[in-house]
Amino acid sequence: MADIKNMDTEIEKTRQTIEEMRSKLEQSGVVLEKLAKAETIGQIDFDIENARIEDVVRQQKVMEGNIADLIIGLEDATNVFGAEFESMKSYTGMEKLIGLFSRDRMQRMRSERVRHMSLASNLQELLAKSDRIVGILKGQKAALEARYTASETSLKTVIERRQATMVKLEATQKRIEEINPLLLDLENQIAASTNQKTRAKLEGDRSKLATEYNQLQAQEQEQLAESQTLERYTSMFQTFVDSLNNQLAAQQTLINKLTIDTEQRVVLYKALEDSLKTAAQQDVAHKINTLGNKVDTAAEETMAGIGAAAQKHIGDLLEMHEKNMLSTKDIQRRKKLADEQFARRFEDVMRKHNSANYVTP
Amino acid sequence: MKPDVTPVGRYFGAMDRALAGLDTFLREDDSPLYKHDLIGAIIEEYLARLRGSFESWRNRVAFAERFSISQAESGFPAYQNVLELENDRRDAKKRLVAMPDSATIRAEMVDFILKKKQFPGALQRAMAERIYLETIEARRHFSPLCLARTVRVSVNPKTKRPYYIVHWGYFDGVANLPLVYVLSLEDSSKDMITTLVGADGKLTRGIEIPLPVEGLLNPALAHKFDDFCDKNSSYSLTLSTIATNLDHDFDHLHPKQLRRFVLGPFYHADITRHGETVDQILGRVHRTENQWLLTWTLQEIYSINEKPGKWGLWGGEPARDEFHINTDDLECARQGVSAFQRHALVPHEAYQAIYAAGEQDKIFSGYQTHIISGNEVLRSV
Repeated sequence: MADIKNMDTEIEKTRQTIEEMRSKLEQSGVVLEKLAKAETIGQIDFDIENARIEDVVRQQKVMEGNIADLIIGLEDATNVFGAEFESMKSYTGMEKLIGLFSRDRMQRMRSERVRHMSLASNLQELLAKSDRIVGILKGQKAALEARYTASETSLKTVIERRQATMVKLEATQKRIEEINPLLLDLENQIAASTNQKTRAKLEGDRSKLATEYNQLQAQEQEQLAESQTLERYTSMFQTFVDSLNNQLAAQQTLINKLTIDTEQRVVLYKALEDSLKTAAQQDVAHKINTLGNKVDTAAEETMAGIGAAAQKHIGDLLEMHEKNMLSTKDIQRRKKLADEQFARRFEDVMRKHNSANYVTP
Repeated sequence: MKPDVTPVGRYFGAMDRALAGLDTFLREDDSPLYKHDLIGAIIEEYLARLRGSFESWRNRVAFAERFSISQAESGFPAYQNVLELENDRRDAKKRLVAMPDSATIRAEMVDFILKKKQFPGALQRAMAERIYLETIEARRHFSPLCLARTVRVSVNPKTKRPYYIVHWGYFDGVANLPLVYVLSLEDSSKDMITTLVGADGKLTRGIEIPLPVEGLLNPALAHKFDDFCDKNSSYSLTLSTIATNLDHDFDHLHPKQLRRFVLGPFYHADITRHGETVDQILGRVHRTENQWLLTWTLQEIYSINEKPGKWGLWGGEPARDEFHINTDDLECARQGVSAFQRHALVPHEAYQAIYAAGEQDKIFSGYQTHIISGNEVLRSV
């Protein structure tokens, strides 16, 4: 019981990490946008920025791991329910001792104990926790989506700019190729000419052409550098946008898993609690009223029936959305899909959890 | 306002009409069942709560991603929604502080429409959430457990014990049905007898009890009684179990009569999947607003005898009640009750459709049928 309540600090911690991450993400995003729009392309802070983006991407992974941890932690915490159910089903040491003398008395003691258990507040707590985590995840998802759209536009701008630069570069290179033979031709003419006047004119032409040639070559260098820088920007952006895209998918996986888990838990646990309580006491009460049967058999039968009945119940829910409805006969299937996706994406986290129970929420 | 023709709108519309119909039925002077005005008044209170819950849910659907309704056996929203409503109610204030106020949202909407020339869906959802949270605190809801209230106090002249009528509400999470319990009981605690019972065996003159009192009237037991209600009110427990448990848990309380009002199942052509026949017939009803059918069950158990308590040198036994289970009627025995009544409320048009299909005997066998037409309940059809 205490476990679920203790998760608050964990959730709060994760929320803070996420908030920090978000501000970092915003920073990188804004810098990238600036880069995309900047008039001149500077080389200075490129490496720093690149390092920062890499850092963001790396930390994102850590953060996702944290959230996955949190979700698995919630799962662990809900094992409380399992323990409660177990204790509802079985007898305590004292009851067994009494059972040596009187089976009836043992049964009565258990049913009395079971009757005074209640999971309602725990369920409420579970729902509140899961809602909070989903809230955090959704907030993060919205932020990511906004950033993703902005960054994608920036990426497009950069790619367009690079294309424009390439066109210019090609034009420059073409002109250089044109000038090269012209220059050779002029030199030949100069060498062949004997007339001072013609020579002077040709010299003038050559120097003009040579200047243009040099200018073009400088331009080519510049444009080449620009295109290369833009290329690096593009790949940097690409990493960023890819990472955003990845995170979006991860968030969706987490949200799906959590919502379906919670939905199923509420229904299943409630049904199980009810059935256990009913099975334990209905018959005792009936017995008092001299209508009942042996408690044992009835309780066991009910236990066997619980599984099927509860599952059927889950299947009967109807989902309502803003304007339309959807029958969800297949919550089992949806749950399986969500679980599989979760396992695939957060394999490492799962493995850590399975190898050592290092989370103590 | 234009009627909402989306399935969601139809569901809420039908539910509203059904609850309003039940309300009309309860208010009728010659209501055959509720001549006892007390039960009518008690149930009306819970109906108001249910309506409050439905109004909040309606607002919630406008922004929430999911909202589930139990399709079979109930037709009411799933238990998770009841719990969520309760959670939202708890932290509504905190969430409202974190949200922009309605004027800001409106301004943003105008900006959005003018700038992007699109429908501001996200902002509309934010607005819906804001309205939902603003109203959720003011409204009364049908919570998972509506705490007990004492509505009548008198004295049983034969036993000279104070006699209370207490009621509480419970939303059952397994069957997804709202339940209302009404309990009449006697209190043999010494303190209460000395305060409430005069020498003439009547309620002490001049004592002011501001009814209704929250919780059980006996303050020493009120807390424990609420706890009992929380743990012993599920639908799967029979009335005999609940009454016997109550008798055993409280040595000085003697349940004399326990009634359980089970509202539902609710049938709607679009939503519920109960029996093929009912769904098909309701589907044939021409006007969509009449495609529903609301049923309820009233169960009752009473004590026929009280075994007097024995107190001796080696301990003793407190007084215990014996409850009557009508074993002549198999269904009563199965439900563990002294008596039960099943009722169905159906719109006139739907009844005609059922009658035309010749299924009225099959569908309504065992039910007292009430037909509602406009704001009137028709009888003796």
